[in-house]
Amino acid sequence: MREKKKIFKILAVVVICAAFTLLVPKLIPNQYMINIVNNALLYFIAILGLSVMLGMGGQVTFSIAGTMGIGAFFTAIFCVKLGWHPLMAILGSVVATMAIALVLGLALCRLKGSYFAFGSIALVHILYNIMLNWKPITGGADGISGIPKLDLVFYSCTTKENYFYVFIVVAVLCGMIVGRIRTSSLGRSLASIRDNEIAAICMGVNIYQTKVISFIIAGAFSSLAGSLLAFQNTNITAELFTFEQSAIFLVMSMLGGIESTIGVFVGTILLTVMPEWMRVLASYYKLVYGIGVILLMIFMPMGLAGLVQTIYKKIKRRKKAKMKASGVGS
Amino acid sequence: MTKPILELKGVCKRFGGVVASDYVDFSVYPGSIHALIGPNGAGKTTMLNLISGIYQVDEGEIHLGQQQITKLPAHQRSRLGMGRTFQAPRFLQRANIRENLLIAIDLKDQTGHVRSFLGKGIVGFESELKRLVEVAELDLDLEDDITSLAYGQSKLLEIVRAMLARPKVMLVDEPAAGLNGNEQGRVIALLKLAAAEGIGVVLIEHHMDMVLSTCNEITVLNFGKVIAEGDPQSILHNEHVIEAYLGRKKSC
Repeated sequence: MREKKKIFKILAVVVICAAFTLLVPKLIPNQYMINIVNNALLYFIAILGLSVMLGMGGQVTFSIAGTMGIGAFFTAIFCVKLGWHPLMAILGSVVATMAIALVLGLALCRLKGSYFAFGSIALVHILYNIMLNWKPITGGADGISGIPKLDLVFYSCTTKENYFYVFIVVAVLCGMIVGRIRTSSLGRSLASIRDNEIAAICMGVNIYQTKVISFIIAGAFSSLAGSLLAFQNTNITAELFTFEQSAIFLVMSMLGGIESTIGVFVGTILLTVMPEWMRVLASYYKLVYGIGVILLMIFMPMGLAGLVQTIYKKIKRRKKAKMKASGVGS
Repeated sequence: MTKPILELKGVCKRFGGVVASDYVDFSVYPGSIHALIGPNGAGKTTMLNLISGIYQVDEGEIHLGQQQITKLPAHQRSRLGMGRTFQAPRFLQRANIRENLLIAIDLKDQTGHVRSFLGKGIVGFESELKRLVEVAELDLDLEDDITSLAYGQSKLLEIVRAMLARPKVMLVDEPAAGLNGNEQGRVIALLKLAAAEGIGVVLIEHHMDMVLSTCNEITVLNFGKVIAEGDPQSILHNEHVIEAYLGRKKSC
């Protein structure tokens, strides 16, 4: 029964991914829209890190855009100033960001609950200001331009479609990694921290260490996204990695359902594409968006995925009750 | 004589002016059930929190087997074999039953997160669980939400969870509180199984008939002090104990 369900789930994901991959570039002839979808995929990769920290560990963090920026600037510096190969640059920037996340995490993860969230807000502002003002390294307000196109040895990206295919493969791989984390001991340790800290330590969970690990993982995913963003845009500025961007990441993850990888994906796509659909609203868009977020938090705190799950569980419970009733009858 | 698996030596804990634990000594032997009893507020649960490391002692020493664990944080004590249950069951509310049980074993065999990520699963979980669930007479669907369990079931499951980790010492805080007679019987069966497997069980319980029928050794606390120690029969007739529970007869 359990195996059957698992296979079904895997099949469903494969079909959705395949359909998405094959259809999207055909349905959107417009380069601009493909760019938007590409950005959504990158945001999804970044938010996967958030889903480890917030979805599994229950730690609200605004640091995602900051670590994404670190990854992007490392990539830009490695490629433009040091002339590294793109693959080396991606690898190097992810490793470097993880090292920085380790140091930052050791300090930040001493804070608990809302203090941790406030600390991460401070962090993202500090990182933004460093990127904006450290002219010799980050190019100041102009940022760094002239980043080469992504070249993966056997596949080089020239069109937006090329990037789309690369991003979707990376996104699916990252999604699988996060799914695996969720069902491994790390995911359960994080869940225990989220749900009951006293129970967690009595099960042998080192809360501080586990939080730092999740912070590093979040840093790795977001820096990978930043890295790929640098290649796609060919120039980056600090303006891409603001506190507002982090807040949007948070809303994207909440809309789809922070505890589900597919939910995060849906939420990210929706919120990235929605501004394009709602052009008619013009400056009223922010108003609709704000009200939407409030309603979301009140009526669907676990997002779309939470809604689906609640319905599914209700059906399952009803089925069980029915089976029991008929069992008694016969 | 066997060596104690858990040993407290002169353990003190003060909360401001309140002395919750006043130079307490006692030893728990492997395979025995050791009851901590005493009136409300005697410092029984505080004692469990000191042993499991949720509080740190002010003075004194705690030994687990040969190892001094006085200064170790709770999670390390747990990994060394300190299991416990709580007065009000503590589970991961948003996880299912399977995850709630696996978390108990995850960090015990030092597998590490990386190996778990690579799919090196926990060996023997299902068979071990089946054995314990049979004793506890629980009918579980592991994929169900933990919140779907009734109160009695969750109290029993918490003991099962603690035993799954194969602890050296198991601290059990009022396992029978609020349970009916049948469920109490299943709690006793579980505790006896734990003792039979060589676990040193520390039991806090208010049901005296349960304490008398299951325990090998009883320590009576009052205002954080040990006022009596011994086997069930001697405790029943101990003057200090009678006084603490029933009050002193006024001498006329």
